[in-house]
Amino acid sequence: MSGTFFGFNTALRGLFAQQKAINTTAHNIANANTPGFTRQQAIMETTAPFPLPSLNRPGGAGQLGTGVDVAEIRRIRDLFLDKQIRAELQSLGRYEEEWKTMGQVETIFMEPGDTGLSKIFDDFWQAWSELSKNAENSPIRTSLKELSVTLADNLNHLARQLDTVYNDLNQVAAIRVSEINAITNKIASLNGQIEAIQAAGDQPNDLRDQRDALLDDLAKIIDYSYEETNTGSINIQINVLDNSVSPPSEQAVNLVDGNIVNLLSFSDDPAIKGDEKLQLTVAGPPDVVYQVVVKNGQMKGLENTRQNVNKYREDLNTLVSTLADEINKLHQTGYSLGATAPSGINFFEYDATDPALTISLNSAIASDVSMIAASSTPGSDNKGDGEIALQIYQLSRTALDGLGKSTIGNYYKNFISSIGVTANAAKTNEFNQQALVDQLNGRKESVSGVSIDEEMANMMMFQRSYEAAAKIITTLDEMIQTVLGLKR
Amino acid sequence: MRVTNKMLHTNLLRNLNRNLNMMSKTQEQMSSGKKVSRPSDNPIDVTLIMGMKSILSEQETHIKNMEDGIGWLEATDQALANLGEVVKRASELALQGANGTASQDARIAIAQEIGQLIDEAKQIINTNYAGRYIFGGTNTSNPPVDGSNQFRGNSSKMNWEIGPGVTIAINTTGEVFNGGTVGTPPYEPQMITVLKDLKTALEDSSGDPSASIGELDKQMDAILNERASVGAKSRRLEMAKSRAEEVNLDLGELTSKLEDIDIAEVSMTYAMQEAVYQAALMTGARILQPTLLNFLR
Repeated sequence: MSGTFFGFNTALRGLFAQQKAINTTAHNIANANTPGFTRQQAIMETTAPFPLPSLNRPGGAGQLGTGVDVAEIRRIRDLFLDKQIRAELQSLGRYEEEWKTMGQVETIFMEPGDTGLSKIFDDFWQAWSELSKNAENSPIRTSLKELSVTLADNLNHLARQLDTVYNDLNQVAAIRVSEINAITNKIASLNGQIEAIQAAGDQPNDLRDQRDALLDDLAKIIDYSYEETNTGSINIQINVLDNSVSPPSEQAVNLVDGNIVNLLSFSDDPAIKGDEKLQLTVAGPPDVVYQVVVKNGQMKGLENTRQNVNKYREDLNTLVSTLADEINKLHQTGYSLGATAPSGINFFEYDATDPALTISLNSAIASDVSMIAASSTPGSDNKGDGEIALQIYQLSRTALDGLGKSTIGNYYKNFISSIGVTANAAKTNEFNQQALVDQLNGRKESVSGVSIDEEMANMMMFQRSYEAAAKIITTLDEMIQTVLGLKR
Repeated sequence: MRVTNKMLHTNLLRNLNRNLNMMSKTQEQMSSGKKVSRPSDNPIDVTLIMGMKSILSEQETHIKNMEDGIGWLEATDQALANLGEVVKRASELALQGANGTASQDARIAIAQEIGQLIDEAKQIINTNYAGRYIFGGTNTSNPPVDGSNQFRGNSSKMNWEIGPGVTIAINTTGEVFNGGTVGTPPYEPQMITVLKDLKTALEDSSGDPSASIGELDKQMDAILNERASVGAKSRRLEMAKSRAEEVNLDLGELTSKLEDIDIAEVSMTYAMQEAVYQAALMTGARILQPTLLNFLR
């Protein structure tokens, strides 16, 4: 049989529980706009009834409930959705990085336009045609000289700009690596705190939110796999190439293990252009260094675009060296204005280590346009001979071995087309992937987001329940007054 | 599905952003007048446009070469026509001189006129067009005939490209002044020799000017043959040029179709996008306001 004051405790528990629930509501409302916040719910459970079932149970109807208790304050979150979002964020990070760089690369070329290389090439060839008709004409020679300088300058400029993009990519990669290290450090430290709090029997909801947000951030940068241990920490693994076995095999290595972090480093050794290595140092002793295999995320995007830009740079070099070689070959056999011996000089000059960056008009021609060898016959009696100029002009239509049997114009066109297709794919991929991630985030928000309407309704519900529980105390008090009033 | 306030907010922002992006693209098209402004807009069209522009530029080069060629050939034809007049006059004078009734005084007067004709012929051979001697082969910077009547030009042809891989020998060389036969410079062109012989025959009372008449006919034939060839080339260039211009017009139109926007269409698109954007803004303003909070005391 329950005591006189039994009901007070039941009502008191009710007061406490509703108060806790309303405090949770307050926390939810306060964090309605906090990024990464998951709405929380006070999970109420009835407390153990009185009396507990036993052999010597007193007579009478039972059991009598003893009230309510908040058993847990739980995050409302779909862990499966989290995994899916992280997988898609990896692709989004990659496409974003690719589109950003490809967008930059394609603007460098300014095609199709009146200032692009294509137009400069057209003007350049036209100048040779003019010279073939007016070989002795000094103003026409001068205009060819100027156009050749413009062409060379533009090629140098393109090479320099591509180099800038390439170097920027390396810098970005280095920054991303330090971001990864910062994130994994924070995750490891959160792991430690979460473990400690869980061990004490509490739910570290807000810390988990923070850790989930960090996992999302990390997913954008690099691909990884993760699992939660039963102590509450999250271990993160990435793929590396194990060079100690032959052939080198891929294996997963911990990036974060509990509160231990293994650090990544990035080496941009110019000797291995286009193939810079991302390295993971697993803390020893002794420390082991692995080569990371990146399959997705911004790091993969960076790796891809680095290779692309490097290839564009090589293609530009091929274009430039072939152009210069073919023109020079003809030019050397020609005669300068009024000369009696073949000029033997190059029209364009370049340094073989980097043709696009170094191509320039031969300085002898730059300072004296009569040095342009337009004539196929020697002597001052043949100044009007523009045969060599004509042959050089006709190079514009010649399929060249150096360019894989392509003309200079077509080679450049294919080059631009390849940039366009790659950039277009990157843009489309980025757009679609963003839509996909937005949709998944919408679903996540639908589960975990704070609805003000809902919180308001809950608040009223908890408020009313609190009032009702208080009312029970008042009622019980009145009842006791009645009993006490018997003996007046 | 559970809908939260943040979802409404994110959706609205995303939609507004998408609309703004589309508007900015359309605006870029309106202000540049071009459908595509970078390769990724439409890689295939961009390649086509670049290719067409190169072809257009090449065509323009050829058209310019043909125009220059026509000018050159006209100058050549005019010079040869003048030279024809000289030969005709010389033939008339030779006939007059050969007439037995002509007095020695008259023959001397005729010989003097022949002297003038020799000078005129030399002047014609030394014709220059835009500062270049057109009959000297590739020796364009020196007069073909010098003071001692020696021809110093060469027989090299100047080949101008008038179509992809198609060249035309634009210049008339010294053979035309040599009865159609090639000489080894320096040499005195037959044209001058014949006139000089005629002059000598007239000045000498026992000379026979009629011998020159046949020679002059031979010179005339060479000139007429060359004029026919120049005329044929000229007609060929005229025709090729008008054809190339037509093709260029078509190509230009095609390029424009690929490259240029249809103002009416783009303006309509823009107006539509603007309407959608405004609608999104309006619904946004309405949907974001009410929450249960507004209805609680």
